[in-house]
Amino acid sequence: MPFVLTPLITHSFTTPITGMIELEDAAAPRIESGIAAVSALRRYEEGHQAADLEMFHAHQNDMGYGLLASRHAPNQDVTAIPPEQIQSVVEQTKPDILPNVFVTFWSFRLMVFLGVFFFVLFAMASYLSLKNQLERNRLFLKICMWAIPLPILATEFGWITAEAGRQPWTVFERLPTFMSASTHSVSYMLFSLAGFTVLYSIFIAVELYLMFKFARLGPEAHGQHDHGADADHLSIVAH
Amino acid sequence: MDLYVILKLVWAGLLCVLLIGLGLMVGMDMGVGTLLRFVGRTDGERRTALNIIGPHWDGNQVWFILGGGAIFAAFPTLYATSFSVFYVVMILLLFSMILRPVAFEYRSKVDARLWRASWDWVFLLSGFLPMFVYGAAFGNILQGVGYHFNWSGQYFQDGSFLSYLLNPFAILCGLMAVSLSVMQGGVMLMIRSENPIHDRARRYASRAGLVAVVLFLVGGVWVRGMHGFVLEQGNPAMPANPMHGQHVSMQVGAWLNNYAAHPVLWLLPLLGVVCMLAEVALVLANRPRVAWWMGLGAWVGTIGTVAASMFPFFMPSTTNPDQSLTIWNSSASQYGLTCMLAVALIFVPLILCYTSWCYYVMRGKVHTADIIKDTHSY
Ligand code: HEM
Repeated sequence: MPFVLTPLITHSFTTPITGMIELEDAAAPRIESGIAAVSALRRYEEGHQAADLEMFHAHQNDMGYGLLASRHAPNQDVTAIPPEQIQSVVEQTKPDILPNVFVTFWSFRLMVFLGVFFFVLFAMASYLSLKNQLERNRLFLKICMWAIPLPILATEFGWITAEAGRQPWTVFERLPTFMSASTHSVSYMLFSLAGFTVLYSIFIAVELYLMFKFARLGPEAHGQHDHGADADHLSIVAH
Repeated sequence: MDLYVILKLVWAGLLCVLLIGLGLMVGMDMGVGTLLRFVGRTDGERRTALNIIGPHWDGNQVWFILGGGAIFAAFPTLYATSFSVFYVVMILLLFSMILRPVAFEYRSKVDARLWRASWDWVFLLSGFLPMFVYGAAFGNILQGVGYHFNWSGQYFQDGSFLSYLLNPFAILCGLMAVSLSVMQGGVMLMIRSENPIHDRARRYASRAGLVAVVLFLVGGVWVRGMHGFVLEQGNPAMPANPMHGQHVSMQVGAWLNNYAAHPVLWLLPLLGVVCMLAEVALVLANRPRVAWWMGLGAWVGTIGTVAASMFPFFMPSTTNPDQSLTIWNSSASQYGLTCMLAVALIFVPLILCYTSWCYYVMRGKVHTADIIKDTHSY
């Protein structure tokens, strides 16, 4: 899709889009310079030497890449990398600069597919509505029913696209995700995750119960005085 | 004085205002939630109580969002560190606050005894727990919290969440906040309900007020023997970075140093105690409207007392006191504080306006007989 993707990414029609291998190779010098930046910062933190500060300033724009490399350094400490091993750490870090392309590629496409599907669905709805056949077309109504969860799916895929696509950065070229995460233990994470899962599972059960209950009662139960479109007026139980 | 220092001070003051707004308005609604099962014996009575705060509770929640948002924008280091230090407690708070709106929306949708009784328990939990955590958090920061930063600014927790929850002083502060919220909720119920809700609310509000006074005074005496923190070296105009340029020591009774230096500050705890007692007296004299405004004084006095004791500390660290978060070292940049101030100067008055207008429009008593007929309300 050269005339779709190119303007989307580069805001021009002619700029070439670099491939993964070129991106990794282009990152190598920045990783090396980043290791110098982070090492200087760490040394400065301890010794407050003017030379270290100067060194840091010279490399500070690549600091994020140095932080990224710390994952492959002994004890996550880039100052502890022996000089002869710096190149091998750089090589190990190179693939880290790219997101998981498979996940981003497919979640994006699923989102867009659903977006196009919604467009078609609404075109159909407009057409049927103009012809006054909206309530009588059983197939269309069935599709609408089954389409209820799809916007949620599309949102999830969109979110995955954005989240997976921005890896490994929380702040682009500055702060890697693994460094911006909290230092809390796994048990803390399990606690909150389990809590959210239990809570929202209960919510969806209750929500579905209410939805089916009021759907079964049907629109007639609303009575004449009601403004039919007002979703707040669901409490028709006692009518 | 340096403009940056002034901005930091203004924002610390604004943070106090938001925390007071939160305690007063959100606390009032949560107090009604806590009291729900006690002031209402029948379903109609409980629904009356809910509909008294019904038009306002989500609007009042703005103070909660605003309090969190202000810390986030104006004191980002404090925001990140405090929310993370109190992780488990914060998650419990979040869970109970997630349950509250659901209880409001669902309770009256199904007319079944078990259904409504279950949501009533949710109201109790989600009214009591958040206010307890709110108060306990003040208790914890007064005692200091265990954390430090490493060379990269990454923060590490040095204390367990159990030490923040199962902690006598924090429990005292938590119960104090719950008492204030129950008192204020009771007063609101008195203003807009008839008997029997009115008289029950009156009883609970006056008792809660007395409990609050006692807990406040006990807390004050307790603080005298507790270690406080002293900023030995630090520059208000310093760049906002907790890792350098500060020296802090821990001393018993240090939280009273500011009062010794500026005796006029004693007016703050005095305001708190006087307003709480006045509120109880006005409740007993059946003057809930005036009593409500005493609640404002009670919260100004309470939060003001904590602020006056701790200034300029926000959240002292017990494991590395030099890295304690203060007004000076945890703020946003000067540019950030300036932009946010412009936003706050527009929107805080706006919130005050629409809130007062809503209360004016929705004035008057809520009648149980009307509520029973109106199945569309909460
Ligand atoms: C018509 C086809 C669509 C196109 C071309 C499209 C395009 C995009 C793009 C370019 C992104 C940003 C990815 C990034 O961060 O770089 C995105 C994100 C997103 N999309 Fe779509 N989208 C479409 C349909 C939809 C639909 C139908 C939904 C949901 C109903 C949706 C929900 C989202 C969400 C939630 C995000 C993530 C936002 C974020 O967290 O930053 N998209 N989309």
